[in-house]
Parts: sequence; structure tokens; C-alpha cells
Amino acid sequence: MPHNALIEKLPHRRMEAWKWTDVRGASMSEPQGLSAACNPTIAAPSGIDISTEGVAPSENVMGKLATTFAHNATIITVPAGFKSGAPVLLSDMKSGHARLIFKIGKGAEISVTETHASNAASFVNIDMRFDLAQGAKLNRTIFHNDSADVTRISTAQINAWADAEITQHTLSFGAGLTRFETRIASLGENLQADVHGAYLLGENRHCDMTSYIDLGGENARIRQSVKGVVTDKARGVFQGKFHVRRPAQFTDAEMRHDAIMLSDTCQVRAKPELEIYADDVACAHGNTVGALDESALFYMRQRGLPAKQARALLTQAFVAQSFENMVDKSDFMARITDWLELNS
Amino acid sequence: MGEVKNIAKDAIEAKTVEGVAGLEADKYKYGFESDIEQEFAPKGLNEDIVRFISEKKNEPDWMLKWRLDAYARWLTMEEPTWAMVDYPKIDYQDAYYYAAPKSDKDGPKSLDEVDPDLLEVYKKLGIPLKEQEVLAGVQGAPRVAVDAVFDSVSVVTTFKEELAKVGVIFCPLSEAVQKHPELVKKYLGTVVPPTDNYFATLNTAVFSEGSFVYIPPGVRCPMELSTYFRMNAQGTGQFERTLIIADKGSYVSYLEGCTAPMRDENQLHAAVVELIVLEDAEIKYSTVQNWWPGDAEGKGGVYNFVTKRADCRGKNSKVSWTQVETGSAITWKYPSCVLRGDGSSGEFYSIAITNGFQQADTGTKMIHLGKNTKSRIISKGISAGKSNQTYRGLVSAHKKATGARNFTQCDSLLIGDQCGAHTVPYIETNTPSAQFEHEATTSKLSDEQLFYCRQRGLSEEDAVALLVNGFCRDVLQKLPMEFAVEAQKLVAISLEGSVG
Repeated sequence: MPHNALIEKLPHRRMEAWKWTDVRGASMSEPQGLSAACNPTIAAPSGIDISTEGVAPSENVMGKLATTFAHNATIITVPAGFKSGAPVLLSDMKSGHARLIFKIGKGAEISVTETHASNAASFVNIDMRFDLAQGAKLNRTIFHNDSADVTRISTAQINAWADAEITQHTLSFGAGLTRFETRIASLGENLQADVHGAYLLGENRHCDMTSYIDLGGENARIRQSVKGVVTDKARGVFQGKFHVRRPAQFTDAEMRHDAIMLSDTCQVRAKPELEIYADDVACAHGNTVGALDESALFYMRQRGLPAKQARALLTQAFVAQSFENMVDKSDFMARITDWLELNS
Repeated sequence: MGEVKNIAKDAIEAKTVEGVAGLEADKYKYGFESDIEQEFAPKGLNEDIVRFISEKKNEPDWMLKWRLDAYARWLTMEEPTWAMVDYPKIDYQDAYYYAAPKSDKDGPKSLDEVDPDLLEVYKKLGIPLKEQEVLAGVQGAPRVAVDAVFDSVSVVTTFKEELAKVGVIFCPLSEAVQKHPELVKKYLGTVVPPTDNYFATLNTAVFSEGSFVYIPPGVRCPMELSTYFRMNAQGTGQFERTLIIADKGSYVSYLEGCTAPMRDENQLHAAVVELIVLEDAEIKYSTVQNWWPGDAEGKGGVYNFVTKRADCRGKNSKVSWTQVETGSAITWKYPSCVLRGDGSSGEFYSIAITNGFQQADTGTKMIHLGKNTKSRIISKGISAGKSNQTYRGLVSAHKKATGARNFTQCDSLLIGDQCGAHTVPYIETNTPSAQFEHEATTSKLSDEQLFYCRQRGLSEEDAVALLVNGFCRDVLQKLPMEFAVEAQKLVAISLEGSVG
């Protein structure tokens, strides 16, 4: 496909869902990988089957693009009742388009750990789908650390049948342009979802955390919390949406996005949305943006902490809230500490 | 003072009870049509119609040019589709763009000259502000200046003299064009430019009436200004345009109330309101909107596509929008504040109630440009029946808006399982010292509270009205007294038939 025709297909800022993340604008110079396939490395515990198959493309614009260049999808099948202490490890997603489909059987429990990292300028588009059968449990951990000239879009469509449980923790240090989009569709009752994340951005980096949680069954319980820290000329974007359909009575859903701005030139954009058609529900969202609390800083400095350390400490405590319930958060916390060393 | 408050409070309560009780029989009491001869411009929209309207208004050339430019621009624009509302395509060629009561030809010089049918209309409307008396010239009538817009032409403007004493100009916009062209030229279209959006551009081309208010420096307007817009002629869209200028250190409270007669066809209403607030000045703008929402099958009703914007140009200027939206089939309305002056502040208090098949997409924009600007948004949405409503708001801080503060709270209440309530806030921050907070909740009426009320002998409908009034209290308190009474009644009326 010639570059001009390809550019036409990319989402751009005149599209409502992409107004703050202009993929077309970032791809004008034809980055490496824009029209290539990507083959991620997948390490899975035994008992999990991996194959490739031609399946219909995802509905969304980036998913269609992934099908154009990656053709077949890699299918990762987790059999019913499967349990393992070891996670499925996904890595080497450095350049190009990839399609991954996880089929998680009845009552199976699986952890998926994704490392999205590239140290060379490139375009990456990962289109994922997770199908959770009844009672399946998915624990997804996403770590993202690209060099500042990467454009990365990662979209995950998670379809959950009754009694499914989803836990997701995302930590991103941004890239030239990044979007982590999580789309959850509940097709049964009693969905439990904890979708948390944090972005820490410096330089000219950009990170967009978008989610769309579409509830169609009764009794869902959703907790979402995203924390953002931006400095230099970075831009943080949060777009969240709960779509509570008429049958989804007794939904209990909470969404939070809080961001701290550490420089005069950074930007934060947020759009926490609710679309609700069921009446017996409790849904809430909150959003705050501001600087670090001066009085808390003053308190710490009064007690002898240097300004830099006080700022780092406060910021770390703020970000840590998103990972409170994470089973093993030591790696995330260490990386956050490293980042704060350099950026506070 | 306490006694006065109590009397007022009792009056409100009595009227609320009365309102709830008296409505069984007359669901939409403003649904009638009066037969006053109308002078229409031919149906449809083209350059000649624009010229016709301008000529009717005896406008100067610059005004006609302004309209024609807007019309040319409008032809190139597309109707916006981003709002969460759904309605059949509007045929802009199938409506009248100008209708004036014939008796206006010579211009009524006194009340005696006003068409008696017109006075009859006011009577039928049961106007709460005692305009009846004001119009009839009764001594000691309340000090509320009324510029009654009857369809498209201002028929009577009262209290003009008293206002003139302190230098306040309050007149129909068409009169201001003739008498104060320098002010109109200086300010008209500077807040909502002719190219702003589809409906504002249409309004610029064809607006036929509206109000003009100028408060001179340091003057506190001695009375609340009020305009009643009532649409009357079948198939006539009303395009009014309001321009209010509060000069340095002045204050004005402006009330706008609306009811429209019942009819079958959808009526298009695309108004533009521009507020200009200079240094240390304050404008309080209150609206009660109760246009016909359509019948029980969702047929008919008013399309209300309004652009309202305030420009806080001066230091420490202040604007407060308060609205109670219970009517219209479709509402598309975002009263906004551009907080340009350092230390300026904007407020938005809104109650939106949708029932039946109504759809409302409403909210506000708070654009912080100046230092230490403050804004506050309190929005209460109540959906019942098969209605849908959306709060859509933007809060943004420019890089230079250091110390900006915003607090937003939007709560939605769902009554029944066939309606929808949506929240779409946009937050854009470009400075770390801006502090923005946004909270939103969606829930249903508490069963416990309902049970408590019913236990004490209230009917289900009364209990719902009481609880909803409580839910809206934060906003109702911000309304001027005359409106608070009407608004409380409206809350109850609008929810009629939504339970049980």
C-alpha cells in the first residue's frame, strides 16, 4: 500500500475518539514498521496451545489495519480449568502490526505479562482479543517503556462471559505517541473488573489511556483508577467510558483519573464518560488535575527532607495508589522510583 | 428579614402543593393557540428572505451585510451531529423565518393600542410575574421590567423610563440598532462570532428580534430584567438574539422564561445570547425553559438549539448562568463562560428534567484564560419516561491561566428503566497551577427515602416531587425568587406520570 493511501486510513484528531492522539500526524514521515508484520515472542507455561489462524479482523480502525499487514492471528488457547503459577510472557513487540487472540476456557485462571518496549524509532500496532468463558480469570500486567520516537497503539478487546474476573495493571512511561486502549464487553452477569494504571511522562512524550467498558449483564462491579504524572513538555490523556446497558441492573462502577503536573509546559487531557440506561445502578466518576500539594511539600521540607526527595516521595505515594492491590508490585515500584530519581 | 423569608418560603410551599395538585387536568397549561393575524415572510430560506427581514427591521446597510455574510457562510456549513440526540432531518426550506403580529405595523405607542387579543394571550398564560398588571398599567405593580417578545417582534417594553433615569438601556435589539448603533456595532457578534457554529450562523442571518441591555459603569440595575419568549405562529422558528453589556462595576440580573403553545409540527428555535462583562461587573442570567416537549408518543415539540456565551473581559468580572430546563423535545444548549479577565469567575447551575421522549444534550464550557480565574459547575439531571439526557461540558485552562480553579459536580437521577443519563466531561489543562476537580454520580431515587415519605402519607407522585426538589436544591437556591417558585412547580409538573 502506498504511503499516501495508508496515511488516509490512520485515525486522526478530527475523529472524536482520537482528538488528543493524532496517529496520522505522527506517521507522516513513514516510520519503520508502518506496513510490516510484527512477531512477538510468546512464552507460555505448558498446557497452553499456540497456533495461527485467519480470523475476521477486529471492528476498530487499528484492528483492521493490523489485519491488512499481519494477516493471520496468533491464537493462544488456555484450556478449561487451567491453573498455573507462571504467566504467559509477551515481548519483542518492537515494530509492525500483530494480532493476538487469547481463548480462555471455563474457570481457567491465567496471568499475562506484556512488555511493550522498543529502543529504535518505529511504528507498533498490537491488536489483541481476550475471550473469557464463564468463570475465567484474567490477570493482565502491562509494562511500557519505549524510546521517545516510537508510535505505539495497543488495543485489547476483552469479551467476558458470566462470573468472569479481570484484573489489569498498566504502567507506561510514554513514547512519541502511545495509546493503550482497553475495551471490555460483558456478556453475562457478575463481571468483576479492576482496571488500573499509571503514566509517568517526561520530555516530549505522550501517553493515552483509553478504556470503554460495555456492560450488558447484571451485577457487575468495576473499579478503575488511573494516575498520571507529567512533566517537561509531555502530554497525558485519559479517556474512560462506562456504558451501562438496560439489562445491566445493579451495576456498581467507579472511575477515577487523577493527574499531577510538574512543569509549566506539560498538558493533561481527560474525558471520563458515563452512558447509562439502567436505573438501579450506582456509577460515579471523578477527575482531578493539579500540582503537588504545597502544604505537604512544606511539611516535609520542614522536617529536613530536600525538596527533590520530598517531591519524589509525594509523587510515588500518589502513583502507588493505582497498584495497591497488585500481587507483585515490586518491579513496578522500582521502575517508578527510578523514573522519579531522574524527573523530580 | 427572617419574617420576609418565612412568608416567601410559605408562598413557595403553598404554590408547589398547588402546582402538583392542580395539574392532573391540565398537563400543559400553556398549550393553546391565539388567533392574532400574522404577517409572514414567505416560507423558505434564501437571500431574499434575509433581505426581507432586514428591510422589515429598517436596518442599516452594515447590518444587512453582516446577515448576508452569515447566510453565505451557513450555506457552506454542515449541521452538527456530535450531540447525543436523534431527530428527523430538518427541512430548513419548510419553515417561516419571519412572523410579526400585524398590529405592530404602526408600532403600539401605549397599551391601549395593543391588540386586545394579545392582552388576552398574556391573560391565558397566567403570567406569574404579574405582567398582566404591568401591561395594564396598574399602580404599584412589581418592579420587573418586561420586554415581551411575541413571536418575533417586541410588542411592549415597560419601565423604560425608570431604567433610563439611571442610564440603563433595555430595549429590543432592532431598536438598539437604530438608536445605539455604536454600542451594537462594537459588541454584537464579538462573543459568538457569525461563523461560530451552524445554528449560531443561521441565527445571525435570520434573527428577527431579541433584547439589548446596556448597564453603564457603576450602575446596579434597579430591577430584575425579564423577557418572556413565547412562540405562537404555526411552523415559525424563532430566532432571537440577546446582547447584554455590563460596563465597569455594574450589576444586572436578567430573567428569561419561556413557554410555547402546543402544536403538532416541530418548531425550530435557534437563539444566540451574548454577554459582555467588563471590569468588576456582574451578570446573573437565569432561564426557565418550558417549551412544549411533544406529546405522549413523542410527536412534535420544540427543537431548542441555543448558543449562549459570556465573555468576562474585565478584571474580577463575574457571570452566573442558572437554568431550569424542563421543556423542548430536543435541547442542544451549552451556556459558556470565557474567563479572560484576571480574577474573573463563572458559574453554571443547571437543572435539566426530561420525561416522555425528550432528549437533552446540555452543559457548559468554562474557558480559563486569565490568572486566578474561578469557575463552578453544578448540574443536576433527572431522566424519566423514555427520555435521554447528556451533560456535556468542557473545562480548559490556558497556559497563562495560573491559579485557575474549577469545581464540577454533575449528578444524574434515573426514574424508571426506559430512560438514559449520560455524562461527557472534557478537561484540558495546560498549566500545573490550575486545580480542576470533577465529580459525577448516577443513581436512582433512594427506596428508603421514598418509603419514608409514603409512610407519612404522601402519594408516590408527591414523594417523588419532594425528593427531586431536594436533589435539585443546590440549584433552585440560586434562582431569583420569582423563578424559584415557577421552577419548583415545573419540577413537579415535568415528572408527572413518571412513576407508578
